[in-house]
Amino acid sequence: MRQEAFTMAAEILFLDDDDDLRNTMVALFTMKFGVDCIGFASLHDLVCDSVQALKTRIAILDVNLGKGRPSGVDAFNWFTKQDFKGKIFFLTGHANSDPMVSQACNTGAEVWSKPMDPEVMFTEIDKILNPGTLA
Amino acid sequence: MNSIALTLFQTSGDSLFMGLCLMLGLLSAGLSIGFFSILRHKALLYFGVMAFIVYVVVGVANANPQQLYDLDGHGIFLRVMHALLGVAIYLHYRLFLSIFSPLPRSKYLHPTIFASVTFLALVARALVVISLDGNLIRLSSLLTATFLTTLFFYCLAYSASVKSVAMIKLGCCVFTGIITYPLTRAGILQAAPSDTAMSFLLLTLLSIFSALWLYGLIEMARELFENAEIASLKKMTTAFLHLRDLMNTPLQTIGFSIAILHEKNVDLQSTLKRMESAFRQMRKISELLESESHPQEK
Repeated sequence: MRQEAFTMAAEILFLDDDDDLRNTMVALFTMKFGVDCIGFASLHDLVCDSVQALKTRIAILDVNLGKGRPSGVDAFNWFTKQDFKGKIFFLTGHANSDPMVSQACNTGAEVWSKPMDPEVMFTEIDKILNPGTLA
Repeated sequence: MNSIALTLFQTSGDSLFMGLCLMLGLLSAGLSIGFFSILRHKALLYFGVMAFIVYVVVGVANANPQQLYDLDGHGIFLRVMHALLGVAIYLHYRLFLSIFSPLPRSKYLHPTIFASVTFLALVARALVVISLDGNLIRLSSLLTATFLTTLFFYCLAYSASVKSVAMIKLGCCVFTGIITYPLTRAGILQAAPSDTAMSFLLLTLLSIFSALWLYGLIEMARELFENAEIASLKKMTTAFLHLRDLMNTPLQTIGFSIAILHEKNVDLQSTLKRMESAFRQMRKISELLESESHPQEK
């Protein structure tokens, strides 16, 4: 399943199997930053729209995308193979002791733990979208 | 049964120290059964009952050794003694399996051999109970001695990595070794009873090593009990962590929804729907926690 706010190239990508959370993030970040956001429920959906996905500047990936399904770490590896130029963050609801979260930490990407303070995320996203702007 | 109890008291009266050794042995047996009710390890029950039988038989035999050879005069008494010894052999076998598991294997040691030797010893003992015959008693004693010798070598071969098992191993080896002497003398050779000094020495060693054996069993059962408690705590912690992980996503949805509501020109209906959905998820988790803390109400 795929959901986007506008038809133009998206700036921020969200990968999360929870529909409510994914749609909320798309709505919030679109509203906050005035940029296009795109959401995917699975790696399969993301790969199906790889052209759009690879054009984004920021990818926020949930780690656990469902039992028996490719994880956020698999998505990270896919992005790496595709030579993705944007910044990747992980957003997970599981403890650091979880094996998948450990794998995510080993990728070198920043790992955020749910529930994240939205203001912290806004600050980090703003640094990337508007690099010249002072905090 | 009255005569058995009387005989025991008579033993205590004639030789105070020997009586004390018997009491120590019987106390070990009683404590073992008592600890079983707390720690629930079967080895304690097997040891308690087995030791009790052995000490009763040894005590009675020591008090009046001549009656062991009077097959016609004390037929029922001897049948009861042999039946008790059969039960003791079986309990000893079960006790051994519950402690020294898995059994060590080698060219000469195999669990099938141990089971077969035990079976033969039990069958022979049953035959003695049915038909009190001097030759059958010899055969039965020989097979019991073979059983004990097999057990002794298994004990030696077992590698004890924990202190409690090492103590049990020592107690088991010596106890088994000591018992073989009167069994051989009275059962196989049907020789005259050993003198008081030898009986005294045997009984003392028997009591000391059965106490050591008991101590090792209690330690082992306590270690297992503690490990079970730790495993149970770990399981509970894992379950709570899992529930906490389930909560994080709906919490995040609510957090972001609140941030949306702070913005102007917001699509209120969609945001409220998502918040409602997140709230329902959290309520489900709360119900799960409630049912986990009251499992009997499920």
